[in-house]
Amino acid sequence: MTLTMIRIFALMFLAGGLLWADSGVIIASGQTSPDAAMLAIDSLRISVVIDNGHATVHLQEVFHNKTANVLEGSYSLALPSGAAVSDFAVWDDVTRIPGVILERKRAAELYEQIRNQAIDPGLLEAGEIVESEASGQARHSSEFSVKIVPIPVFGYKRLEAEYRQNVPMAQFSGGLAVPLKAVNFEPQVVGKLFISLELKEPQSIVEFKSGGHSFPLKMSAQTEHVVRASFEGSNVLLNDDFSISYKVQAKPEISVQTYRAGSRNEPGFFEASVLLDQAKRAVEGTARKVVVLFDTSLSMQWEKLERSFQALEATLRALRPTDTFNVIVFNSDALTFSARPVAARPEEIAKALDFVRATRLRGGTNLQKALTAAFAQTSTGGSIVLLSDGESTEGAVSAKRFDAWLDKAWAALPQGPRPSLSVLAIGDDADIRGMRRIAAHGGVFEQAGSAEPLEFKLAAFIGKIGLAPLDGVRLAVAPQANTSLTYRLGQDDFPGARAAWVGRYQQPGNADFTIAFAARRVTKQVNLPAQETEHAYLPATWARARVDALLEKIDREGEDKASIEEIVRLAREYKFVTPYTSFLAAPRALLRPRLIRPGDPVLRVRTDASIVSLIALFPFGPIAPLHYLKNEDIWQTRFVAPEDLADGAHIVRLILRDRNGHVFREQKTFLIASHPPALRVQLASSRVRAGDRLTLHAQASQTTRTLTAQLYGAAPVYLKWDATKKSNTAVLTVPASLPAGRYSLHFSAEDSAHNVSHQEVALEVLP
Amino acid sequence: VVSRAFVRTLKKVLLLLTLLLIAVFTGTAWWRAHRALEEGAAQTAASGTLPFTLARVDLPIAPGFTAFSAAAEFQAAAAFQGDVYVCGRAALYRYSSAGKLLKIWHAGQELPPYPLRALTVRRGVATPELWIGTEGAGALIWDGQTFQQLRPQESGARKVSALLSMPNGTMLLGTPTAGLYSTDGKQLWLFHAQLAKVKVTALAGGQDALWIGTQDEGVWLWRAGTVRRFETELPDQQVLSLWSEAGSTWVGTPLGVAEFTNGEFSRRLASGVFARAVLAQNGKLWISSFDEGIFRLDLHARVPRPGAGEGFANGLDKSATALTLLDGQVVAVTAQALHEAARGGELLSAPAANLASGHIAALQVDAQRRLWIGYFDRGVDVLSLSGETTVQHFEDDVLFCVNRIKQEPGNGNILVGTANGLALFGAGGRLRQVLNARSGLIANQVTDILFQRTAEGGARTVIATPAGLTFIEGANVSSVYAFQGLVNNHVYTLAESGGTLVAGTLGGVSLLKNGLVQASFTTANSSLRQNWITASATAGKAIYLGTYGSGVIRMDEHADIQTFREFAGARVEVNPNALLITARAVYAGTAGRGMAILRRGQERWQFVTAGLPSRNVTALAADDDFLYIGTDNGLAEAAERNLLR
Repeated sequence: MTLTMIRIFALMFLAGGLLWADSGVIIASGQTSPDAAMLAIDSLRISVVIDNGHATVHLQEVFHNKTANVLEGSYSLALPSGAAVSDFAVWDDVTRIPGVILERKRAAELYEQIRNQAIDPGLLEAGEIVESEASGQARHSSEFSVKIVPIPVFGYKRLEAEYRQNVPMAQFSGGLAVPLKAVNFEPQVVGKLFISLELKEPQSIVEFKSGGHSFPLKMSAQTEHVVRASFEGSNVLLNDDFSISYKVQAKPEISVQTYRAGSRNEPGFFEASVLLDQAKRAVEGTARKVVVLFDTSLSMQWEKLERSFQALEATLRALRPTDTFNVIVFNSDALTFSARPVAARPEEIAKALDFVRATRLRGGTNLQKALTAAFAQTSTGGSIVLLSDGESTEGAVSAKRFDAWLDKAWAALPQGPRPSLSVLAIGDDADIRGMRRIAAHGGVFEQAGSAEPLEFKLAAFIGKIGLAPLDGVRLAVAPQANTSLTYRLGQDDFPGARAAWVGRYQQPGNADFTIAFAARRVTKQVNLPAQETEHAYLPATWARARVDALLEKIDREGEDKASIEEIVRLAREYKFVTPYTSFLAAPRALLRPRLIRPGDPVLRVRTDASIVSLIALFPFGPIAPLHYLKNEDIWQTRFVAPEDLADGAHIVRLILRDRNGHVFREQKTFLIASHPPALRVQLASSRVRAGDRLTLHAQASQTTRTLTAQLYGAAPVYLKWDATKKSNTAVLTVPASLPAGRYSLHFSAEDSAHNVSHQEVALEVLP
Repeated sequence: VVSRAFVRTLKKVLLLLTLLLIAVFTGTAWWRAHRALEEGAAQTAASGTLPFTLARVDLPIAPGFTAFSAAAEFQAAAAFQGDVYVCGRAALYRYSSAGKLLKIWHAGQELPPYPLRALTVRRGVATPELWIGTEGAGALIWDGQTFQQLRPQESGARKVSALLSMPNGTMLLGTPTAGLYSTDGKQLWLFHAQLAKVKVTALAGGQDALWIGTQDEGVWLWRAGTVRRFETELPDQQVLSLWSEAGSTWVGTPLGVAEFTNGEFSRRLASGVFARAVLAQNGKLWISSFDEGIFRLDLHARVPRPGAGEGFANGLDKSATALTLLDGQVVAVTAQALHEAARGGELLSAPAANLASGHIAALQVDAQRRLWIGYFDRGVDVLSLSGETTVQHFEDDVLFCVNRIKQEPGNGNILVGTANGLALFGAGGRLRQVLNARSGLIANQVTDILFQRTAEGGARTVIATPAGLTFIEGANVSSVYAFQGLVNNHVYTLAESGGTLVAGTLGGVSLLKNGLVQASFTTANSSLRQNWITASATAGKAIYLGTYGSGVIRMDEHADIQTFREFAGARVEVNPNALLITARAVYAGTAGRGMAILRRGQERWQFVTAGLPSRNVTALAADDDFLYIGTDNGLAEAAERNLLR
């Protein structure tokens, strides 16, 4: 192996994309980042409607080709966890070409046909698998990306995308963020930006805030139940995300939303919800016992492990010294930090964190063994917190067997002090349904996807640990026969959450809705209308809930034809992606038909079966045919990067030929990161007192992806780029309990290729 | 009335006048073109010719190096002085016209240690010469008796990707990154200011119209002193091949061929064909593709369609690197032979080779005196050192891109680290097992292997990967990476000293005990000059570390670092795991300076390049008194005592 070739830490990713997806970005072919001189965002209109906790985000972007060449580009849209693309369309001159939902097999066939006509179709599939960087392990992506071609000379290209997302409520507060700030690239400028927001809330809105200062909202309506606001600007720099938060009055009233198109044969839809306002069950000051299960199997490598650790640290640091805790790291085996739970003192927490850091990653995941160990630690009650992606590979692996075992093991525990099972599902590929079922054992469930900040979710999650969910949360509708297929949305039974159900009704007329929780009953009589179209989100929300229920059934009982047919029908009718359907953004778009796995310095490309020849044209000259590795179903070659090839993103072109002689041209981006990020830290003062807030400044290379600082006894802080200060900054709170003395403030910068730089700065804590 | 005789006379006069006008016009055009060429050259000369040396190739006598014969990898061929010369990557071959091999000149032995790339005959001079373009040594010139080397001072101009002889004897040298140069053998000029940075891939034409194919800018046409670029006319902007014939030019690209007539685009041909080489003769266009064999098009057909050349439909090597004319016959140059393009018959073939490839990535001599050779992308060869004949060749989905080969002490197992996993061979040379990420490795790519004894006396194998370290102890497989404190995930090399595992990474050195990181050293907290550690080898309590850019350093048991004067100020890159320690010396394979040698007990390094097939030394191994030196262009053997003499 030559020296020069090892310079490649090739982060081979999809057309133009780096590891983290950016939202609403087009990268012209041949470019490695958005270039406003070639393709500028002429206008961006964002419409956000939040109706009773259901958000619909509609993006309309117009790109301007400023060159004398016809361009093609790759458009990507990162989705928050739980969000689903509900529409996508490309405008070809005056013609709107919408995407369609098709059964997977049919979508694949059509995709092939269209592709053979040298038009790149787009295909979005649920749980689409890409491969993670060095490990080569598969992970699921939350990114929707399509290829856009052609973008006419000096012309415009209009795109529309829409996604839906639930806005969970915790402690009577809800919030939503629309990612606009580039993660991988320099902030982009939008010629004209228009944001409209409509918030409709059946409960009284007592507080409304828009996050950040970049998009000051102009309020056009602000009533008890409605907020309407907008922002309009020219040449706006997208250096922030658009976010809002709101708080509602804690009033346990039932609210019922309805939708009925008016046709006599069509059913109506309803959503009934109530705010769970019961006082906290846990008595303040009562000592808690928390056992954290920390997954160190190989599937957790990289971001998932870092996020899990962040969650672990936050969980432990949220405990009081009177609380007790234990940590069980698990993979194929389960290893306990301490023989029995220990007091949550800072030194014990530090020891536990060191213990986890020193634990090696091992192959499999045995959830059964881990939970058994946790049950042994909580025989007298407490909370079990599971941090994992839930991909069980050992012990009881099948959902049916595992669920049966868990139910049995749970039932065998003494009923009084039975522990709660809370789950934080980490990663886009987490087994959500399986982990929800675990959390249904008295705990709380939350998911942390890769494209969203963890802090908000983590705070809500931790806030509920140790609290008991309210008992007996259920809905009854009378007359019962008039409603059917009613499903609970989410499973959050904690005080401050919204409990909601969706269902169908057959005939218009009066109905009594009763919601019971914690020995309380709230009733409301509602007239189910013959026609009502205001809450347009309801049919799709119900359909999604119905499909989720069918998927649960399939998980438990196996596939059956009727269920699959119903899933396909509902997905097509209400436009969302399921494991049995695909979103075909035909005819001029593309979602990753092929996949390049990074290597060092190996180029690996997965193609469809029709490809018989694949040749790579490297930007520094060499031309290399790729070898097909049959066992892995992948094409591979190796390359030598010249010594003078600069760090950064580069493009390799691929010429593919299929068995019919059709030739296709693709290009992929790889990253050369031969140097860890440079890091330079500045401290305003190296002397502080316990409890002080210290502003940190650090300069780091452009390739830096995460920049953290950590002080003994404190949770790590993440430094973010502040354009006004031209520095990465964060505020660190020195723990009030930290004894005086000299400490090290440890900074680490990590780039996309997982190169890490460290710097330690001395900090003196004065008495 | 006009007589018939007068009409005939008038016709003759008009005909003569027309011919005269044509002659004058053609002559003027030629004169203007010729003058423009000379003016262009003169203008460049006025701004200063480029420094170069022209000297007889007189390499120092290599101290007992023997080259292992590697696959020839023919690049180009030309007829010269009645013989056929074929340029391979590691050698120049001379054959009789009947195909008999007459002579071989090896890079590193009789020729400078650089891969050979292009070949053409210089015409338009009193004594024709054979010019060979190299990847780093400029051009070599063979007059039938001796070799001379035209070596530009500018390093970019020493890498020659294309050669063209002009009718007036001027030679054009295209380079992959530094533009196009011309020389008359006495002076060297940049050919045209606008072509100063083009990445030249191919040249064709002559003084009236010169075509310059580029890697990313389409094709340039130089005519009468001006240049013009064609890009959108081509099926693809990357030009792979060119051929000019009677006013027409064909431009081969990865997606087909563009035809130009009299300097203007006329049509596209062979859509979708990866036109690696093109050649036109007698109304037929020959195209050698990368993956579909050789095509022949009838250029006079209304819609020329590619058809397979006879004989190339099956059986023969489908990947001809070049097409050339030998005695008026179209000849396909394939990796190991020359064939008649029309019928596929073999004209000559390369001599039998010991090695599957010249690009060596790893070497290991096992206890049975077999040399294991891991290739960059051709699997593994196992040679018996007694007979030097290929014992076995292994190449499959896993044994493909090799990084490292190590023999496990005790049981004699051979472990081969590849880009696709870790292959375990039994002592008998049989593949027994493959480990990869599915088996518990932290990544598929294995960069180094180390065998350790655990504190309890058990055996532990440590695997370095770009994603961290994996420890294998019996059936127990576990991994650590930056999360557990490793200074960087990208581990390139492993060594052990006093029970401490030393992991050389992209971002510094980590010291581990029992799998736990004890300390890490970087440029920020130690006297390391370079964070990127590429190679390591233990010598007693000290460890030699190869770096990317700062040569070799020595770390003692207290983690104190000693640097060496020979690496100060000069950038020296040690190739991954190209460090070897014998009882006599420390050897380091560098990326461009050959092999560095430090005799035991001395403090000065010496650099050896003579005798090596390339200055890029990628792997080292030793067996008793012999050293095996792998490069990116072949493998050499040398007696250590001769080397150190």
